Amino acid sequence: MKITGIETLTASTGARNVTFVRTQTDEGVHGVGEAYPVGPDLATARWVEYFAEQLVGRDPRDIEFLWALMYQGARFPPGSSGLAAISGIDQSLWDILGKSTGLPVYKLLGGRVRDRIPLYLDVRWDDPDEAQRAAVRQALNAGFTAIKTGPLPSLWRDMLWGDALARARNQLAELRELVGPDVQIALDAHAQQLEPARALQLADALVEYRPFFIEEPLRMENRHAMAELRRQFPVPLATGECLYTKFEFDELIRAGAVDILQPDVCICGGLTEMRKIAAIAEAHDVTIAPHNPTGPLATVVNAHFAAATPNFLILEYRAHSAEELAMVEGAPTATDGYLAIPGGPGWGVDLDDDAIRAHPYEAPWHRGDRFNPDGSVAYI
Amino acid sequence: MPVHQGYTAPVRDTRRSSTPMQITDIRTYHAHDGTRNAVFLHVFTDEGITGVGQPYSIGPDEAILGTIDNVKSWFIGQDPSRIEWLLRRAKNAMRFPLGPAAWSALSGIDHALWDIAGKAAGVPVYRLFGGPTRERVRVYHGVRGDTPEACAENAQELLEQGYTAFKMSPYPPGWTEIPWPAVVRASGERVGAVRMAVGEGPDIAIDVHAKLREPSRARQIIDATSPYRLMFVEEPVRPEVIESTARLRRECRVPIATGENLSGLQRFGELLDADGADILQPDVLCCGGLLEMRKIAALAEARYVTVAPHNPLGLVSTALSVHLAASIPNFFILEYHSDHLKPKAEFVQEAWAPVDGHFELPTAPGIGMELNLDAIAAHPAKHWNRGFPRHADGSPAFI
Repeated sequence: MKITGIETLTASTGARNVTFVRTQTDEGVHGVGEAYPVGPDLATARWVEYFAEQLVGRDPRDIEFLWALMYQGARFPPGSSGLAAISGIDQSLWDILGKSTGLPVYKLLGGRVRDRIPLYLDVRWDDPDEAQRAAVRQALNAGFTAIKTGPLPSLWRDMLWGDALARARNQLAELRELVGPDVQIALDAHAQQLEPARALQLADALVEYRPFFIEEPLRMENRHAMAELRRQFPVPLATGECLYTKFEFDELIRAGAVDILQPDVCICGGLTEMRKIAAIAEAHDVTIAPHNPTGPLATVVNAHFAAATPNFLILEYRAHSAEELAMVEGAPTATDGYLAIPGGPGWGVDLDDDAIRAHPYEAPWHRGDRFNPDGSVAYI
Repeated sequence: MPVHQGYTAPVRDTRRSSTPMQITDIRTYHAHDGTRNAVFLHVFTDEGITGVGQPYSIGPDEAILGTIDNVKSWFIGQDPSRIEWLLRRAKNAMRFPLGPAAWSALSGIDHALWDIAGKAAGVPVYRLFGGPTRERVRVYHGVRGDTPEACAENAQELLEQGYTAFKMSPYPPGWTEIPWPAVVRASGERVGAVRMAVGEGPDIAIDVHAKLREPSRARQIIDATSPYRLMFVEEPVRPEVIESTARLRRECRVPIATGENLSGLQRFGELLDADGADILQPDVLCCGGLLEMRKIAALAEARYVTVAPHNPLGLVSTALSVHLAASIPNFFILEYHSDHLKPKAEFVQEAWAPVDGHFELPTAPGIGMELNLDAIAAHPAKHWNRGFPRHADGSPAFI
């Protein structure tokens, strides 16, 4: 079997862009993948073209070889857009391997270790009002037993830190009251703090309400600072969505900086790399809760990973819009807070070109800016 | 990459099948290979596909057979494609850390389950793992001899057969009962003679074989032999105290290889976290099987550590190791001995042999190595042990 072409399909969904990768072969089998929308999404498409020059004519089932060809061929560590491209291509190759062997991808990974895949739902609880309360109640009614929200009020940067902490504490108390004692509440601080002491103060203010985990309590660049923080951190520490390849995850684990690892299969290096990251984590009693905020294809890829990976903990899930779901034929949705074990062969889903073309790429997506009260740039 | 052709039609078209395959039985075979006993097994399924496995023959082989008899019922009736789940369930159910007999037993079952998966899909097992990372698999060959001259002669013969990498024991015969300075001196003479015989290019490794406990003694052997440029020093000290190996690695400039005595991902994690090795040598017959060994290799890859599989037990082991070596990016070199032939070669239906010091990649579905049950039955197991060497004062030495 030979690769005949690799293309990207980028759609603008209103919220952010989504980039799919499709690899074609001379045997009529094709595979699909999703690349992380890193912001400069057109850069990802250019990387895919660059890699395609090396990959066309080669056997798509030689995944590990082709991964090395891309990664080593780039010479410089590929960074966000390069790894988004490798991740999307890598996923499309696993899809082809699954289809060519007639197997769902999770069966290539040693088969399923669980019967269904537990999820947590992303909800907003930054300025609790009736709409946010209703959304949380709806999540519980739909059967979710785990949710995630930001820990701080939306305008915390403009508040005195002591006031922000007090608001955070009151908000979480209210949420705990609303959901009852047994629903798991995860908190995503989203790497907005630079100071370890502040991260610790925030966790101390919230621990009484038993967070499931606190995610990215600090910026991710400094593994040593994260490890020092974890030694005193009163709740499980989750991080990893901004890290690349087994090497960075290994640094993090080896530094003792994490309880729950959150690699993203659309940017960490694809399924090939994600499985290696999971093995490194397994050797160190670290669990995996994949970062999964993007399109419905990523959810499918994560479902295959989750089905086969013993130290998988829980999968992030957000309710996709009808427009997004239409782009992936056979995209699964949650039932009672779980995903079913996915089908096959390959991912068991395919792209719907018409639905993707209905939302043509419009413009680069920007995350926006945030500023501190003194005018300095804050983290978003 | 070469084009891998010749996959015969899949035995089973998984696309059409609606009910999962089921394991119907596990059978073990116990044979004497001329030197020691070998243990093999078959996992049978309700669809006529049979998988082959080989647990390590750890010494008390009956313990492996007993373990498999005990756990067999946990597998019968189950879907053989659930490899991670089946092995994890068995490990969890045993509760106590497994030890070599149980690790070997489960490793053998892992092999057979992957063999079944490959046969069911109609592809070689390395294909399921994400395909080959290389076109052929380089091997090193053992060099033997009682004297430095005999070692040199053996190495010369092997060089002429196309091998370019060798491994030898640094010890002279009867070393446990002669004065230690004579052992150190002899180790340098043995390796020096082989280096003279093969020239500058070829690689030479020494296998200290975990017979020493004191890092300081191992260091004396390394100092005596390393002037002849060593590819690696294997198991320079016993495996129980990982820090001893790590200390040697810090103190010596020779690549340190170890791992044949370790089982399970977590134990290899401890070794790597201690920066204890340049080269890992897990044995797929006892480390936990192919799935476990691929995880070990992934961890090693993140640490810039390579994998040189331990492979002394014959051709099923060699086939499994070739699939592993073909699939991982950080493979270094594979152990091989041509005494894998007679009578071990008779235990399989088709013997593989290296060409120019390399194995070609197999193309048959599954592992591609089938047992010859008649030959196995013709060489029944005997009671065997590794022997009980002693030091000059009568205290027990390591074998």
